[in-house]
Amino acid sequence: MNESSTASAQVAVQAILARDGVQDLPQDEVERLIAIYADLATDLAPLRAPAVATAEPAVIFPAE
Amino acid sequence: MTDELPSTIAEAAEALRARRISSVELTRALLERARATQDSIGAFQAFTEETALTAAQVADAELAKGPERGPLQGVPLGIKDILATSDAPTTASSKVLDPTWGQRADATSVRKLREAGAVILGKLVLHEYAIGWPDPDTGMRFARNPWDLARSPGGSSSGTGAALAAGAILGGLGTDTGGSIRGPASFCGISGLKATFGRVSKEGCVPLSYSLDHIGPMARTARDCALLLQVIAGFDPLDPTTVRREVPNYADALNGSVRGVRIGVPRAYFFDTPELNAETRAAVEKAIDDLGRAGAVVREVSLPHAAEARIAQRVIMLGEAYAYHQANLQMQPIAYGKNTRRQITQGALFSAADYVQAQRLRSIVKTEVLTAMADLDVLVTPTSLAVASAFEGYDPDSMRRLPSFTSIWNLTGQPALSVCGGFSSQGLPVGLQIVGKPFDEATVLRVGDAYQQLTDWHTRRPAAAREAQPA
Repeated sequence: MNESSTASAQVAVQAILARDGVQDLPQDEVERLIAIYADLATDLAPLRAPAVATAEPAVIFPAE
Repeated sequence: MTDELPSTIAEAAEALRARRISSVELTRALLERARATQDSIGAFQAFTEETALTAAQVADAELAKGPERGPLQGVPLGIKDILATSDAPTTASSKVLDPTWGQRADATSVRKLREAGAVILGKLVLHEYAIGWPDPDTGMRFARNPWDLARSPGGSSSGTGAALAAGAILGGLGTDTGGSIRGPASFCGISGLKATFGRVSKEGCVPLSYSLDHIGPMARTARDCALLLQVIAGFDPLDPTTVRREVPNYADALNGSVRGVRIGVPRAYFFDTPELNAETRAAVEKAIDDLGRAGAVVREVSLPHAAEARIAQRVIMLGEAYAYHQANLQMQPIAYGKNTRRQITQGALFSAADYVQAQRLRSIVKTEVLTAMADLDVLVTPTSLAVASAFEGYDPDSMRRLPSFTSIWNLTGQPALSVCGGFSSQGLPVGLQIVGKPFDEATVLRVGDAYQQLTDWHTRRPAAAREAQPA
């Protein structure tokens, strides 16, 4: 993780927590979320694999 | 009398009908055992002694004169404290849950147990909100593993697993969103079944993840799990995820044989991951050999997206959990245990697109597994990577990157049973997981029961339980 990605992760996490009104987390936990967020694109890459892009999501809701 | 206490539901049902023991005697004896282990093992959040003894008296009267309510009649059980009960508060082992939440009638599964004549001894401790790892700073009780009090019984159905291993109950209910029935079953040397999604009503349960949560039986044996499932299974108009499907007679399926049963062994991921403990792998390999020698047909099978399933399960679970908890995280974040909060807040980081992609991958995994099992009856894997973890030095964050052998079956919704598959050199239980096709709990239970006819692992009891025998 480089300085740039950490900085952008910090901005993103602060924005998410502000948007959600979750403001009073201990600082070490916010820092942990920033570290997790910085790795998120890599960690979730399997969700963006080509095979996944053609699958129906398992959320189809029956109409009746 | 107490020297010969039944240790399983099936034994208790027989002993009660033979008048070798009354339900009141059995209830008093197990309550005494539970209280004797409460300081050391701490499985109970609350005792419901008064209603338990009343139920036991009713059971004794009905066992004498009718009506016959089946094998749970007069049998002492425990309920994970995330399910509503009319006679005790529900805490979800948290300071956060509104106390008024549990001021209601029994959850559907609990109501069915009472209607079958079961005696509910109390509410059992869990990991807060069925996620995370105990945080002593919250002041909430947490359970210890009867096999080694310095170790966790696993979670989140920690109290149910510990109480069973301690012999304080003969059966109970747990909930399972990523392995919370099967993990404690594995670590405590008992049996635990996550039934098919939709088989058991979730009504009256504090949710963790709406599309992954399951309620299921935990007991000493697969047979006892069958007896419990028989009662709690079935459509519930109060839970739209339950299905209108016939509930077979599970005990009838327990023929003690695996002859001809087709077992798939997914070696990739489930057996070759470097995090898998060597003793655990050896024990499960031995169990598979035993099943093969008993007449099962064993072959390898491939599940291409098994590793990726873990990612999808976490995105869905944490996203749904965060949605449920967001308001409380706004208002009272510090009231949560640290480890619970650290888990749930991760859900804030996923986008809506991440969630949908995870549900797409879920479809792929489900299709792949059903295709792989087209000519198989069950899959067999280890339940856990290793034996129970010590409390000291454990890093709850490590779960984020570790493989999971249980969470994939929450993603697919298939039934999965953990039974004791041996013991480590340290004397700790190892879990053997048996996975079936959707709604084929009968075959899963048949294999688990047959394995328990071949082995005696499930009959072993920890020293902490033996020392708690009533005088």
